[in-house]
Amino acid sequence: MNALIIDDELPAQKILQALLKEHCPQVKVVGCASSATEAREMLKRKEADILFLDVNMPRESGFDLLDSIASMKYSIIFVTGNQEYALKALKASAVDFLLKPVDIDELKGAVKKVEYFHKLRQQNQEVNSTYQATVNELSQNLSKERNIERLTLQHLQGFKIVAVKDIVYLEADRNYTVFHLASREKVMVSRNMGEYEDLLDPDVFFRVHKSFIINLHHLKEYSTADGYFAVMQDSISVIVSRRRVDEFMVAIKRFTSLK
Amino acid sequence: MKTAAEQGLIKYYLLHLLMQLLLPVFLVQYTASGSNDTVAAPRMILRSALVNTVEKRYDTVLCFLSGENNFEFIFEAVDLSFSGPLLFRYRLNQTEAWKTTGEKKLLFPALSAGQYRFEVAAKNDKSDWSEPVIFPFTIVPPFYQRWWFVLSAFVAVVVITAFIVNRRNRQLLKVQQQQFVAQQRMNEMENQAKQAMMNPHFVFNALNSIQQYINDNDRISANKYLTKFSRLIRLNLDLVNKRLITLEEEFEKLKLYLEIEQLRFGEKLKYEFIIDRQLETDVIFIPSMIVQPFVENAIWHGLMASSKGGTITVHATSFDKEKMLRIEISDDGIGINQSKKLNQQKSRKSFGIELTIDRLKLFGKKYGKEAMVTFTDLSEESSTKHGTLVVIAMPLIFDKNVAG
Repeated sequence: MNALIIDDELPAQKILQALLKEHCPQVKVVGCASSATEAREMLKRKEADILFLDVNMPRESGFDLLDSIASMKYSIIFVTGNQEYALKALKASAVDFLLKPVDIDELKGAVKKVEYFHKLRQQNQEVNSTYQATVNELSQNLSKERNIERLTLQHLQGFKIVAVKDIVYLEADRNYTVFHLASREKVMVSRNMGEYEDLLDPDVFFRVHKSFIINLHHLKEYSTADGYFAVMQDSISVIVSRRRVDEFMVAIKRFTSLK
Repeated sequence: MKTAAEQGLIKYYLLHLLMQLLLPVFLVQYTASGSNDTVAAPRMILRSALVNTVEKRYDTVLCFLSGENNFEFIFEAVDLSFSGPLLFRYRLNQTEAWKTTGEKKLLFPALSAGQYRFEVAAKNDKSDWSEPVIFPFTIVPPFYQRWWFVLSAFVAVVVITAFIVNRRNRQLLKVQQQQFVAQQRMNEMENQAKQAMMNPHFVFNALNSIQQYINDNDRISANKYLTKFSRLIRLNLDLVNKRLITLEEEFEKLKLYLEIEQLRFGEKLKYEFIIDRQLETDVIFIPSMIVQPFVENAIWHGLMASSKGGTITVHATSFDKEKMLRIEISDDGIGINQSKKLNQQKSRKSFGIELTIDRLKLFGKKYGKEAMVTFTDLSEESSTKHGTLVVIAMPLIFDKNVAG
């Protein structure tokens, strides 16, 4: 696979180049660009599959560059220092990202994932268009201050863009998170539920239990008959941790007053 | 209607007339006792008593208000002996000494409140003092001198004073509370700042280790070390603005810290986390940097002081019906007793242990529970054991909003 590194800092380019050469020999770096303009020029002349893209660059950011090219053709791996605003958007999308300084294992993992999905996208047009959609979603989520409306879930079969309002509840299963959707569909994602908790509006999503986050929009009733349960659609009961009952009641009150 | 003055005048003339009618009797009397040197005393007549220039009747005990205190008495004596000029004596109280005057008019301006008994008597050169005429009167004290006013004023003063004192105390208490809160906040801020900087000793040792890996051309280790180190910095930066962090976050930081230290110390440092399955570490809130100082201490004073190194065990449980949190940090190093001896020689300061204990106590106070830290030298429990056990007990808090 061919890769293009776009970073305004020369040492950052060099480090990534060296790490890829040593730890991901299957990736061939075809060029390094120091700005979005340079990158666009380079992309006209060179074939690239993966773009390693710095978020924070003078004049045009990595996101700006992404908006100005046919991003569908590429697999994107963002590389970022500590831009909080970007992290939230990135976590909500299926676009991979690495934090600087780049951890070797994380780099390997990201490259491996990109390879898998790159192949999948080539085989499956639908997966490809969803990827395109999630990339577009990225800059939209970026401009929004707080609440993310749509999440892209990455699972083994591809990507799924989910409207936050359609999520009934989330279930933690070790390092995986299972999304239970209003369509009765379940999507399993290999990411910690805690990461999603940070993305979702705390006024709407409440963690009723160590392993469950529920969407208060889908809460039908609340039962104390046999322990504490939040009853969701289709009479699915989600256990409420005894310790969180009081907080839960406060959250419901706040939620209903907001509505 | 006749005016008071006219009435007085009429009285005067009537009396005068009466006197004149009785004159022959007196004369007879006088003649009868003619052999004696003394003559009959003149007869005293109070012509009028004026209060604030208004005439008053004087046949009853009179009461005057405190403003009616300018008295004027006009009197006369009928002397049938006609023996020389008349002399008068008067007093305002029976206890007072008599004063004499030749005037037939007495002025007592601005008398103070009290009971009076005006008496005036007359005599001539030869006679004794006549029977006095008496005009008793009372001047009522002004309202501010009366008992009920004084009493209520006193009560009012007491009540007002009590109120002011109480208010002032409350204000003081409020100020003290604010000070307490401020102090607490200050401590927290101070800590946040310290935390942001991280322990310089640790930071430079870490950088030093990275340098060593670079010099040894061990790029993998240098990379690993560096990324772990940066992850810890990032985590610290993320958490630095939070007053309380979850137990999970604290343990994550602690694990990173231990991983970094492990890269440096290698096999000499082992660690183990035992977290009670019941414990919901992701929703339990604790002040940040509560456990790490004790772990640092255990490494430096417990394990590294021994040539073999050892294992650090962090054990977290709840007790007191999930109201309290217990975190135990134990090591199998040289033990606190020996460590203290060594430190006395080196006079080395422990890493913010005192500060951490203070913060814990404040945290406990905030939730009305007692937070404490106990140190035990394990060799005291059993001769086969060695090392130190630190037990932190603090309130178990689930809601950061309540904590805010």
